[in-house]
Amino acid sequence: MNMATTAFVRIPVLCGITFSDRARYAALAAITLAGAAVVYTVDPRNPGSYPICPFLGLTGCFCPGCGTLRALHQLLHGNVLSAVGYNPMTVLSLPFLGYAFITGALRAFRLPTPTRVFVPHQLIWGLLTAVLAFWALRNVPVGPLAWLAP
Amino acid sequence: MYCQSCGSQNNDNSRYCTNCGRSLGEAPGSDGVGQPYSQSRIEGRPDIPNYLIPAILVTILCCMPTGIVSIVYAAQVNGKIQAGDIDGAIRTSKAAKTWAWVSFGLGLGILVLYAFIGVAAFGIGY
Repeated sequence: MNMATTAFVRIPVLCGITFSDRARYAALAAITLAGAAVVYTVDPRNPGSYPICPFLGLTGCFCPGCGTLRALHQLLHGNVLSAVGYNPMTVLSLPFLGYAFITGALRAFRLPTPTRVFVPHQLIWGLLTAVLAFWALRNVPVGPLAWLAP
Repeated sequence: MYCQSCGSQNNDNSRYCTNCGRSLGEAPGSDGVGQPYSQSRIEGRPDIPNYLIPAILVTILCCMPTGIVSIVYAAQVNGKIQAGDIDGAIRTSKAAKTWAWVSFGLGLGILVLYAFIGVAAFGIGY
């Protein structure tokens, strides 16, 4: 392990504070709820509500995460279809992220946990291909592909 | 807590050594040594973290190009587990962890940068 790696891994040790898995999941839940409250209240469609994405600012291109704030704002207001319009990949990923969070939190609190799933590497390579294709195609403003832009 | 296999210092509540990946809290020679990550299994396979969830979060929710690197590492960790290369999987898992922290650090850095730019612009009189 080189020095740079060690520095990153040891940060919690250097600060003299260690966190239990329970504390981590509780903190994650609190941060998520606070974030959801902000995104629910402040509409990202109003310019200046949030800082511009650095990738969009520097390149002028949409990245796979573009439209996520607007999609989450729409989802929190119950508009699933317009959320999909802003970023279909965000909406698709949320059930999986939610399942991972719930199983992880149940395990941390030593509660009965549903089966944890091993994701075959072929599926992860498939995900990578999908993300890269989505990244490229949503920047093509032609015909039906324009629908993928945020 | 010090690892009884390689002597590295670890968090007191860690289950596995961050340096060699062996299970902490088991003396050398007892069951489990030489079989890292043997305590916990997913569908019969060793439970070696691949950091796929942070990778997805970073790529799709935070739009960081470093997320792509993290997805590649996650795929490699599970590929090595499937091939039975446990030592290799543990090594790649450490690299995946590093990239998760790099992405987190970059994200935090950009936020701080925005805060500074905001303060500077306010000071100038925008």
